[in-house]
Amino acid sequence: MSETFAIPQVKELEFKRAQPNLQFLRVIPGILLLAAIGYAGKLLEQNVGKYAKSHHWIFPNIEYVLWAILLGLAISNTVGVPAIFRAGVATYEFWLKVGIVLLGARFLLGDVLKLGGVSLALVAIEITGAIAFMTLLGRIFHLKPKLTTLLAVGSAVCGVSAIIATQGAIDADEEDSSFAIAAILALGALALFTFPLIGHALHLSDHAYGLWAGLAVDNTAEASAAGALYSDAAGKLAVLAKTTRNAMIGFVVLAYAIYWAGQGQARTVKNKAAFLWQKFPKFVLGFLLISILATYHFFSKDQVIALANLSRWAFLLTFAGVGLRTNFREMRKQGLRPFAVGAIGEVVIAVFTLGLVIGAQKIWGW
Amino acid sequence: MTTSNATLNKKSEQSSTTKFSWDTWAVLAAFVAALLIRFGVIKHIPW
Repeated sequence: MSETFAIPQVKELEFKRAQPNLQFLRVIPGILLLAAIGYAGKLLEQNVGKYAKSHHWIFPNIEYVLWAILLGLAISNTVGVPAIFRAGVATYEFWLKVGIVLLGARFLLGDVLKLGGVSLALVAIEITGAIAFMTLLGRIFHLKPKLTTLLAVGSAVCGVSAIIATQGAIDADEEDSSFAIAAILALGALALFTFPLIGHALHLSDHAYGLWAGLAVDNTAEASAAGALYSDAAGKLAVLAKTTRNAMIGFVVLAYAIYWAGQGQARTVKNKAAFLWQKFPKFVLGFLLISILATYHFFSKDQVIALANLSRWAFLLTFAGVGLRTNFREMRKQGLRPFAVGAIGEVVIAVFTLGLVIGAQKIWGW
Repeated sequence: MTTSNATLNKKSEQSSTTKFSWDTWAVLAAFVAALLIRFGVIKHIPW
């Protein structure tokens, strides 16, 4: 039990900063575990419903996404993830990005520009509102200013990646980064279960719900999963909205880096263009390029189906990883105050973005 | 947690100038898969 991720997000950070060639063999057991859990989730989706029906039981139709997450959660929070699997489990973000790039084949460029334009406008409002509100909350709760910055960036832009990028740029303490990441991950895990319920209670369309999940759920993996838990179409929209948010990461981190350098508490950014390129998530470009290729018929219809299926397999590994890296006991150890600030902020951001999406739904009539 | 923040940042800066990030590897992997499908090496992906 004690051999679960000590501080999962830091293990992940170390993994990300290690060289890929040295990690190659170490990651295989964990990748096989992700695949086994994901595939078990798929088998459970296919067979549990059938079994319940044949025995005349009333049982909700649980999708593979939820099964994969639940199986991962069960392992992580009971027996724990043995050391041999950890490096491979940490690759779940790699599979997420592979899945997002391949998902580009399911979007025609016109759709991306249209939906991305709407998303961009909503994202700009969301980021501004979220940063302002989280900064205010941090001051009210007397959190350290850099911890407040990390929580604000994590809530406003894109969860763990944004926090890691900002930590380096503003020279924040590693402890602050761990607090912020733990709060964002815990709230992301809660969003997985609450967002679909709220969406169904409010009878949101796939379009509106997907946009809402992409705007309000912080970490890309959880946003994709929260969307896919609602429907396949909502999952697609959630990824698109979240990808638009991710594209903003460089600008927000640069603004904070300049602010903290101005305060004499961070290194000065010499080359702003290079800084933006370094922080820019490259998978956004990959997604757009695949979408352009699909739009101009570089792929046949059958090939687009194959790409979409491959994207689903990559997401399946991601969803298993989301469950496996979520350890509630470790999250509890990170302290209550950052979690409280994050929770209040997330609820307000969720309500705010829901209002934005419902407003946009009325204007565009989705 | 054992490695200092500054050391990690330095390592990250040094590696980012000479090596691909995991982000870039993911894009490359996706494109290799897409090309294998496009040119018929992989014909069918079941779901």
